[in-house]
Amino acid sequence: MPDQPYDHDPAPVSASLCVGEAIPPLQRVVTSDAIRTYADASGDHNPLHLDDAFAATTAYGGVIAHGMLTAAYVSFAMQRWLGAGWETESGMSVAFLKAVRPGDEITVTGRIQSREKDGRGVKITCSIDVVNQLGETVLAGTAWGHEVSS
Amino acid sequence: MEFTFQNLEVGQTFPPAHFVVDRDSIKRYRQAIGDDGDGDEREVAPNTFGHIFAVPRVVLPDAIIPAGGVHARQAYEFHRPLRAGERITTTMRVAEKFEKKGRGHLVYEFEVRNEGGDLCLISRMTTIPPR
Repeated sequence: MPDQPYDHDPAPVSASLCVGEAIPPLQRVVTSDAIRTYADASGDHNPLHLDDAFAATTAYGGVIAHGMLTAAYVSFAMQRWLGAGWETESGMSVAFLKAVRPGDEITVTGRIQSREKDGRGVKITCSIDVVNQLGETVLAGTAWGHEVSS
Repeated sequence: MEFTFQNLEVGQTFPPAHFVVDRDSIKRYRQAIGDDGDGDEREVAPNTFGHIFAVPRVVLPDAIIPAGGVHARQAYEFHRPLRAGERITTTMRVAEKFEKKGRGHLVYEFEVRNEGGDLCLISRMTTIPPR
């Protein structure tokens, strides 16, 4: 298990989402344990993510987290926020911009770019920006889901 | 077959691959991201969990994937969450090839469907193979 406390407070979608509004941020410390657990779950045991000695010989100079671990945090932030509105007829498109290393503190942030009616209700599209503890963007893109009225 | 920029052609398809969604993998995946989903959530996989079944090395275990590639971009359409015990099938094709800043880029597209044929996930994975 990752050796850190996590914030599990639900952050339900509000009744009146506005363009420009920030989505609830999600913070994580990317521990070596989280990287190993992700490797086991995904079957991706690339030594670049797990072997310090090997990773030191690569252009990265050391172990880095799986890009998809960071993307999974984005999905979790959207899941926490939109709930069922994230589970179906949703999506994301992201670019991996900078390596995430063990011990990095990352924050998933985003803002609502548009709200538009479609066949399922109101589609919400958000910009996504994941930053590290230095304020550097490590992942950026968009994600979309739907408002689900409670 | 070696998955290099030169060897692959746009539109190329590969034999479908079949999997069973494993409950323990869902649990470990949730642990990795700090998601302590309980109750029914233990049976339902987070949306990005489907990525596990939508990468070339998993769909084609015999393929030679050159080391040192970069996963540059990732896009998904999520249509239906995967559930523990579900039997799924992944199909894969080369959707796009292009060069940017002197580097070849390969875009793979994956479709993941359940045994009823329902579309669960579409993934578009952009990679930069090593030179």
